[in-house]
Amino acid sequence: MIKTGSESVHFRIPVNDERQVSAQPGTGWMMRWQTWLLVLVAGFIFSASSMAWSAEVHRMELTHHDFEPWDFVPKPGDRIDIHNHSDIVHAVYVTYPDGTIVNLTETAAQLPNTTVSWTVPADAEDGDEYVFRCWIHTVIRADMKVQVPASQ
Amino acid sequence: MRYCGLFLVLGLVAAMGISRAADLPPRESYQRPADIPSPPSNPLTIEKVTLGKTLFFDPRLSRDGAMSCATCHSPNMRWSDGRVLPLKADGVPNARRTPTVLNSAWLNALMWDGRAASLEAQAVLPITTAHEMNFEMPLLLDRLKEVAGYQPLFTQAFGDAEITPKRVTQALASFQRTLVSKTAPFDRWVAGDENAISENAKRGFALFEGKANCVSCHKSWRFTEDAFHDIGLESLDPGRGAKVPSQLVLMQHAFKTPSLRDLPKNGPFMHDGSMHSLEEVIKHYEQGGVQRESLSQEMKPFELSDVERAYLIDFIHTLDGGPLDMEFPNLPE
Ligand code: HEC
Ligand code: HEC
Ligand SMILES: [Cu+2]
Ligand SMILES: [Cu+2]
Repeated sequence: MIKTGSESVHFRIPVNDERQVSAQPGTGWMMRWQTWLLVLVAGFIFSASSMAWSAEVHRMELTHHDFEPWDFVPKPGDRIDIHNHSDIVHAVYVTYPDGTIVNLTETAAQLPNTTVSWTVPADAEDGDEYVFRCWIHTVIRADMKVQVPASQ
Repeated sequence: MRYCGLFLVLGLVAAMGISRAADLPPRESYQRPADIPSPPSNPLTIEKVTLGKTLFFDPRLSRDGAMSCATCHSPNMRWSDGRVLPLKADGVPNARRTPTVLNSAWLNALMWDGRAASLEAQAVLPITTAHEMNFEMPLLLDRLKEVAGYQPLFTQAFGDAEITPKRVTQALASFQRTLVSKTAPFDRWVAGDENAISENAKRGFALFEGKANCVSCHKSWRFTEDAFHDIGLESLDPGRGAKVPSQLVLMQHAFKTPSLRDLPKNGPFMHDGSMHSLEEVIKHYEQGGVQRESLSQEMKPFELSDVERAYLIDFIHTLDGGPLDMEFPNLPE
């Protein structure tokens, strides 16, 4: 438990799929075709079994003091890439509807020109709001309302 | 940044030689706002401001009846107290200098470490803090209820004479929102009066945005965006580091960037009141501060000549609009 402002919140270290820094160079296992086949098959089974839609990747741009306007509506399972196109460091975290806080970087430093990612939890419900803020620049804020597509 | 497009256009115009101010940064990003913002839950009204002003100056808000908000946030001291550490701070660990409450309507994080999110939420803290007014809300309400003169003030502000913690804090917040810096020479220059500031101050402004890069933290018309940084002071106070997860290295020793408007002449400056002149402050930035993991990435050493340092100081002086005209309220009986 940590305290921010007046409300107390739970703090959770992000797991790997929530924190993906794009600057990472390709590694050996990523190159092997078997891996890709596995990923493809697994992905197919996963999407066929649990979600009636396919996850997308959205992109947001961080400037000196704000997110640039965005026009997507995230769905459960979607990935949101946040690119820092300013010349200053940011430290974005996401507050979940239950108050859980997830940092998108380990040391609170998203250097200029890097990208961090966050994946909408697969069990997010329609209308759930996830709030993006920056520990350094409290003026920065984005409220992400999740929409679950109507099943076909 | 919202103004990126504007910057680009201005840059192009400047590059084409149409504008003579080519070597000076654009002024648009320093335009003062036209209105005072207030939250929908507490819209600004004259009646609330009047009540809030009375409460702000009323020492009965403290347990011993000796200390009002204005004791520490005094109109004669640029809404601070002129002290390195506030009254009663002796022996309090990590005590911090009293910040101004000027332009607090625009704050998006309050206190040096950002522990309050709104003026309404902040106002309870000094009343109940042991080394400040050291009172308890229920007792304060009882005391205010006995002052007959407060009843019409509450009625005018809120429709009836009931005195609640929420009303007290809403009124205090409303009054503080009206404390806005007066128009400074710099504002007149931003508005287009070329002669409002000296040529030296303009050179100082160019340094502020250029080599000294103060603008990477002291931005906008308030010369802050309330962001948190470790600027490498000697102080061991963890600042915001104590309020956020400890893995956030950059928030260790980080404090809220103060505005540069209406600064007291010789400080004291910084959260620990450790500096007493602008020259000392600028030399600190030139040197780059204590090198540690949490030091802001925007802290990069640079070198100024004595003349350049004087330009920069001239510029900061153009952000001073002078003290507000403030009539002290009559305290109700
Ligand atoms: C004993 C001196 C003292 C008194 C009395 C006092 N304050 Fe303060 N005030 C401070 C100090 C010190 C801080 C900074 C504390 C910190 O950040 O840890 C502060 C911070 C603030 C801030 C935040 C400013 C900012 O830039 O974040 C506001 C607003 C404020 N006080 C309003 C008030 C009000 C309203 C009252 C009366 C109810 C009051 N203060 C009484 C010393 C005082
Ligand atoms: C890395 C961000 C950053 C940069 C760059 C920066 N400042 Fe600051 N400034 C701050 C912060 C944060 C504080 C408060 C630090 C503290 O008290 O711990 C501060 C405090 C000050 C103060 C004291 C104000 C007060 O009320 O106590 C002055 C004056 C000042 N800065 C001027 C400048 C000048 C001039 C420059 C350029 C040479 C500059 N700053 C560059 C972040 C910055
Ligand atoms: Cu940021
Ligand atoms: Cu920008």
